[in-house]
Amino acid sequence: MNENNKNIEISEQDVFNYVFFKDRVSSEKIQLIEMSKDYSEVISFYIELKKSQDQPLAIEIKNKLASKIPAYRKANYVNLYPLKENLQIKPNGNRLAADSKELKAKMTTKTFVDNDKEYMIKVLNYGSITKVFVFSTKDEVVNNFDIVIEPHNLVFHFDDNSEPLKIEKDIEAEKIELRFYP
Amino acid sequence: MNHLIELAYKTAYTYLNHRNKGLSKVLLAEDITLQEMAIDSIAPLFARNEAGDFVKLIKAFENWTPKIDTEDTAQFFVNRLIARSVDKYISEILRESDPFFSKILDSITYLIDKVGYRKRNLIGTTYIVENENFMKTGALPDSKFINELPLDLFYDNINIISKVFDYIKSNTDKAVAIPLNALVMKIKSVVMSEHRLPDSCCNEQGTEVDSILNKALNTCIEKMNVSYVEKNKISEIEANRIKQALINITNDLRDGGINPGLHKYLLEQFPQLNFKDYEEKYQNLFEYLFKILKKEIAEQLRT
Repeated sequence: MNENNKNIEISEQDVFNYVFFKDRVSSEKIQLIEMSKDYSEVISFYIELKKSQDQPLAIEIKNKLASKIPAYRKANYVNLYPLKENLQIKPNGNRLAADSKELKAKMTTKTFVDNDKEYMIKVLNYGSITKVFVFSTKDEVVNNFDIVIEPHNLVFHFDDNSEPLKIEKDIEAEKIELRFYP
Repeated sequence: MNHLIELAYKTAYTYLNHRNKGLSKVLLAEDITLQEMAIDSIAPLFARNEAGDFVKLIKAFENWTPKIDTEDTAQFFVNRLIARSVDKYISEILRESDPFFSKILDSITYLIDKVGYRKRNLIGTTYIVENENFMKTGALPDSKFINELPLDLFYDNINIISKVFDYIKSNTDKAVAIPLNALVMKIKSVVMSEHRLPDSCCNEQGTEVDSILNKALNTCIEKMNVSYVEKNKISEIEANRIKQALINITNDLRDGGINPGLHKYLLEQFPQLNFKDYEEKYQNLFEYLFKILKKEIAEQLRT
């Protein structure tokens, strides 16, 4: 171990960041944390915490939260699942074979619909950016809703659907939930 | 807000589940699940004032140093806020659940203040540390460590904390910090096995544990007879079975508690009864008597 490292104090936030935001921790501190057994238990705990935060909540828990915490608004949920199509589109709009390795895709699109076909969501993936468009099939404005993208459990709130959701990374959605609030 | 509340719940649940593993064993006779505890522990944070502001959240946010201005500082702030809230909640329910725990905690708190030790919340647990300069995050002693300490450290009431500190320094590589609730539970198990509870940690004169429990139990049974048996709300047979359930609770209170779930004590005495019948017929009565029992013990401990 470097002599200078002896004077470095590892704080609770350093260990937290080591698990949640590793790029925020200096290399000297990372080295100290990884070389010492002292932090293994705390690291294991924070890993568990991180895992738990990615898990969706059961409906019974949501109901209990709503009954005990007035600020928690019980939402109406609409689940949207992917249509069977999964197209890759060149900038000029021509379709490409999905399994063609020779042609590099510029954009992929995935369409999600609910059982009642009231809503349609288009997920457009441009490689480093994902855009999510929410439509009402009745051509109505959709107001005050959350978009929950599974399996990543990414939650975004919108006042209306006039603008698409933009995410600065490649998102592979398997299911999307819309939550509406009274 | 829903997202923040859900995040808070998941965080609280994980703290309860992983950082307080032995909790269910020491929560005497409380009919409460870990999920309910997680919700109860975070609920106060989301209380609003008349203007609809989340006063606790706002105050905590404004008082937090260093300033919260990035995603990582915001997430750490939420994590710490929930961890403290869970720890506070645990102390409250331990106090409420067990009058002996409450009494010993008061004595230890008195000692901490008297000697000038400090309390510090680390990873969701309150530790007693020697002074403000304590900075360690790793190698913190846990409840298992405290449970396995030599018994002779716990007989000198006035010097319990300093003796545990000295032991940690001389015999281990652990950080010199004592998890508060674990220490109180350990002291409780030691003094209960001796059947004598110190009046305070500064007084060698003790009170007979059995005497306290018996007096509280008698008051509780008397209350049941007057309010329920004499008014024909329950039969003599039912009263005898309830009495036996209360005796079993007092035994567990003395021995450290092994049977979480108040209903289980009663169902033991009524083998034909299912949980639904218990809820309809006996739950209110039994919870009321249990409350009386704890209140009586607490009063005896105060006198």
